[in-house]
Amino acid sequence: MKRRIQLLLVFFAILSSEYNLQAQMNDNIWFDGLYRSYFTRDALNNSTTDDTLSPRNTSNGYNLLDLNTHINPIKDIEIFAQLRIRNSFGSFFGSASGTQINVRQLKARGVINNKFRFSVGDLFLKQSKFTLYNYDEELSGFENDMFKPYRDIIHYENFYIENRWRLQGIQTDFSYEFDRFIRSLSFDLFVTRPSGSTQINETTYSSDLLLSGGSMVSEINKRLIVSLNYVNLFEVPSSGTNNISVRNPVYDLSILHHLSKDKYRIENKIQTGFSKRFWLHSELANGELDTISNHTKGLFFELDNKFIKGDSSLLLTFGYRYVDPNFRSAGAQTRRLDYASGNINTTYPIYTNMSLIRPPSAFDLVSDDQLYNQDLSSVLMVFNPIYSNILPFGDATPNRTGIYLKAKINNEKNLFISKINSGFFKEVIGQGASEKRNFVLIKGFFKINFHSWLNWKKELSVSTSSESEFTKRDGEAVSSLNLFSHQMNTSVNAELTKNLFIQASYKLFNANGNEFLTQRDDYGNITYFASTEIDQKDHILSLGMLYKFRKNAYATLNYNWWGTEFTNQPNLDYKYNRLILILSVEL
Amino acid sequence: MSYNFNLLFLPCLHILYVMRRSFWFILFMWWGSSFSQDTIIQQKPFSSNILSFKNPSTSIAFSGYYRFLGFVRNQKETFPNNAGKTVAISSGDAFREPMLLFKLNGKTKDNITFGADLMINSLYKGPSSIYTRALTLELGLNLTTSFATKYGTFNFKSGGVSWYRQSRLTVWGNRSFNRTSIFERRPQTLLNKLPINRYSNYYNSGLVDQGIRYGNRAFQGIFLQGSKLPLNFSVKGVIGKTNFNRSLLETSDNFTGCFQLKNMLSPNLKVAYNYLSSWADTDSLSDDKRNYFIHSFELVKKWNKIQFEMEIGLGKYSDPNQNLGYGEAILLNIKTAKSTKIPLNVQFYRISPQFVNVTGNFLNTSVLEVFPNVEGIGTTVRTPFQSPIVGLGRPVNNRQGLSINADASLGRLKLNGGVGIYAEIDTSYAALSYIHNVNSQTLSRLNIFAQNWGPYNALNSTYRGVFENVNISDSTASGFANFKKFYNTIEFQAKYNNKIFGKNYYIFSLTRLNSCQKNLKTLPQVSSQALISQLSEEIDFSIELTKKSTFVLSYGVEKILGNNSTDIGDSPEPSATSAFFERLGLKKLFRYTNARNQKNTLFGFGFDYMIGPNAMIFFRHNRYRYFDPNFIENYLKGWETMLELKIKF
Repeated sequence: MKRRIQLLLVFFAILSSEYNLQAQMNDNIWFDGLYRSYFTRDALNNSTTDDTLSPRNTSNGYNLLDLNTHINPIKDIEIFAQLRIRNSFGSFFGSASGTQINVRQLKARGVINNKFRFSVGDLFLKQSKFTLYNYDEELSGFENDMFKPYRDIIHYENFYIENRWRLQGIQTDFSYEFDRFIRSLSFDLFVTRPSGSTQINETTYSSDLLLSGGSMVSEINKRLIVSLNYVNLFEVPSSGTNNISVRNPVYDLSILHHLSKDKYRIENKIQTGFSKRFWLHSELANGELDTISNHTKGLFFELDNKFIKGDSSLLLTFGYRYVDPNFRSAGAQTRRLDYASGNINTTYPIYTNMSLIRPPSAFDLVSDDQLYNQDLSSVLMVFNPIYSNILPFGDATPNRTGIYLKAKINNEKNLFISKINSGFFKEVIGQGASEKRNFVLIKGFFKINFHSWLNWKKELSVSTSSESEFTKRDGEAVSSLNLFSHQMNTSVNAELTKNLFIQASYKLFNANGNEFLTQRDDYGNITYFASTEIDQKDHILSLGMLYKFRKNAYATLNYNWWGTEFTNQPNLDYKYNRLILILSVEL
Repeated sequence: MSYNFNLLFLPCLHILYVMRRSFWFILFMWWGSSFSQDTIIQQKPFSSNILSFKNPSTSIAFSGYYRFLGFVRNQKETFPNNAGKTVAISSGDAFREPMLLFKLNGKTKDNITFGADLMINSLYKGPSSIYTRALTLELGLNLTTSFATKYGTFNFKSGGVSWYRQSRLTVWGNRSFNRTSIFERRPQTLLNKLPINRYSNYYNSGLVDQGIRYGNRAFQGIFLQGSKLPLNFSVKGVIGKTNFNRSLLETSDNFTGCFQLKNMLSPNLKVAYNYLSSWADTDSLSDDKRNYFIHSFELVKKWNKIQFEMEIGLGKYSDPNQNLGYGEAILLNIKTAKSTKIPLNVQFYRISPQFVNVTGNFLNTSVLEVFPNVEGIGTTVRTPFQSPIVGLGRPVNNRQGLSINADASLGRLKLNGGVGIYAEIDTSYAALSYIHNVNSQTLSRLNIFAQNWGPYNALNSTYRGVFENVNISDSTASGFANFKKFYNTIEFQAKYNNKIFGKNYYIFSLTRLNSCQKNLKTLPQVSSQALISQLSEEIDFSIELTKKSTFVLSYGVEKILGNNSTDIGDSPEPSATSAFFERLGLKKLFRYTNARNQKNTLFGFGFDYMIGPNAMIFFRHNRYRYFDPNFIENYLKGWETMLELKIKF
């Protein structure tokens, strides 16, 4: 019903906008959006012999149009609707199974009295890195250009925009300027509902889950900015039938000092705060007072320093971070990749003649948008230590303390670009053992633009990256662990004729060692540590071409050879091939 | 006491608490809206939300039409398996047609065009939610762009459904000589400027504009077209899917790809090479495939008054159960210019049974499996398969033949017609099929897209048409006929226009006579030698009442006769093939038979009325009768009334 009302609203808006060419002439209504044609053909690799039950190949595809309709009924007010029309490849004449028409986004925003900005509906919110922040997913750091179309689709389909969470609610902000004591003072407030009450069975309803927050940012003087952020994830017990509701307020304070000179700029930032999380037991029988359970408190602290050369040829960042083991922030610690049970790969989810569930590989993480999550989680989500063990929850990963160093170096003539990202962390307290884990993170990226060296007009570039994670815990044999994972990327981009590129890339990911997988209950308490031995190698070899029609319009045709090898593991190896065609046009 | 305290005081405390919070909140917001700085469009100190800037990059235009079709059918006589429901009142005639077709056409600043055709329907059966219909697409989504290079201009299209045509042997929609009754309207039929123009256009050009689908095939996929290439070459092609040759599983491989390379050697001489390949997995493991391919060569040469068109092809079909090997096909067409006194059109074709294709301009009768059996697709495209008797201009594989068509004008009387002789190349199934010329749309509406229905399981519904299967008893043990079948066809159309009381009127008469027999004959047969004879006569009359209104009348009669080698009816007594001649006692002009002796009649009238520019009302009422005295359950009788309101925008 809700969907139909939304559809009606959208169509009423479009229809009432005059149906002829005047629509484009009318400044009150304007359009943009995205069109995409997507086709994949997956096939078992010829060397596969232990799988005679899966089809030798499968193909899928669709065409979709996301039409963004912007309606400005009055100045400073905009109504926005994103209408999605999706037609599966092969479904003819609008057959019911192949056509979907949905309202993907609906919101209104504007400015009241030229002072007070507001948004209602679909919001994309971000605060600080410890309160509300949507961290990048695994393996996405120094990725090569060949996987960009895949990555773009994952981000677009899951509404990952600038590390923001897509939430639905109301938001407002306004600011003041002063001529003495302080320069400006900004306020930002929002109330959203990440999850609404739903009927579970005839007599049981889940509660509404709300996320509210606010920020106060003040520019004290030209060099000093002070920020205060607050966010709270909470349930409203009376909106459901469960009298146990989560509360997770997080407080954040940061002071940013920057010094700008002609040739460089230095930024120093101190950021600290704390969180609380507990479950409130309310509306108890016999008029008993409310109680709380599973109460945790934790703080964080970060000192971040940046040095930026005036010509942007050097960016250097180093700092120290401490995050308490009990620091919990749903807005910052919710993961994009969801390893929850039941979330299986889209491509060949079952394999071998034993019909096993295929464990995800690096290729699945790169290409499968269905593995990703959009819902805030009040407890720490499951992660896979193979692909991310040091900072699985980004900078807000609890139980970490250590230093980090990042650098980006550009050549003046753009001959090469290099990036370094490193971190040395350890646990604050031992987890399951008195000894603490030690972590070392080293990532490097290097790109050479041969066309700049050779003064060619057409592009020829080679890039390579290496990303390593070391995890070690000493102690008794039963609790000690040692895990090493490494990712290597190499890619070549060659422009054959104008806007037509030949591309090749190779990604190799290997992990070996042992770790303990943490199991938690519904309240996030650790219930068990499952020892796991790891020795696997993922590979993706890609070859293809890219044609850029225009800016933001491209067609890419790639062939991927990918798979995973397991050594001394219960899982069986697999290899697949994929032909993929993507045509993407930003309207 | 404490109970009262709780009861009275706690709510008061709560109200005070809420009021206090509300006060601070209102004060805060008022303070914010009153004293905060003016919003700077592209810059702000801090916001948790994303910024939005106006950047209109795309222009959108909308077009389409609203079409309401009120439909009432009252069946006076029904098939025996009718459950008792004899009256149908509906919005629409049950075919999948848009009530509101809302075409969205967009164009970006980069000259990339895109489109979608939204279909919005309502059953008008009451407000209950079970009767609401989801918004859907009529065809699909399309994106087109073009880019000019020094080597030529290239058009690139993605999506679909798109309508595509290449050559008659590879990709071409069914298109014949447009000899038909135009009493019934189709949803795609465009609106004319004036109601009478529909009939005057048909009188003058013999063609009713049926929209872009006509003569094309539906494809989904990637389309590429290159024109103005060096040395007068041009190329076009598509790789994707059609609604034929499909796998049972949608994710299995089932694709069709084709391309054409054409060269204009001179303004009067064109040559082209065509290629088509279609393949589909036939099992869930993708081990087995059904595939066919075609190479063809086209030549078009024009002289002063004569045009010579030829396409020759070589095809090969194979599937896990059979490998038909290579087969040849040739289509030859010699036309004289319309300016000649009696324009002639001579057609010859030969298409071997091994030459299989379902997207070309000929019917496939060799391989049943290429017609898909996928839900929502299969039945809609199943054409007559078993040795169909077809009209002129509709080639069939496993057949060869010749036809001659001619036009002539005698003042206001325009005549056109043709005669055709065809023969099977190899023996085929011991069966026949024929397409009903009269009441075809009416019958198809009784059981939409159904196969082998009716009391004798002989009827098959297609899109706005019905064909009927006939079994032949003279067969081999493997189910093939013991003989080759021969076909004869005559079509004759007369069109007349004049004025009465200053108003234009038009009379269209269409006579068609088809037969299939065991021997080669020069003309269609109606005697007992013919396995099936089909004779039909349709007369349409239309008169301009006012500039905005037209009155139409239609009468059609169709006679189907079988012989003793075909199905025998369940009536114990034979019937006369012509009750009229039987009554007159002219024994030479009729015979008694136990085989098919069908008579189909239709009488209809209607009005076309123009409400305003691009808005018209069409009213149609027709009485139908479908009867066979030898097949006693084959008796249908009733009437249909349709009121169509069509508004184009």
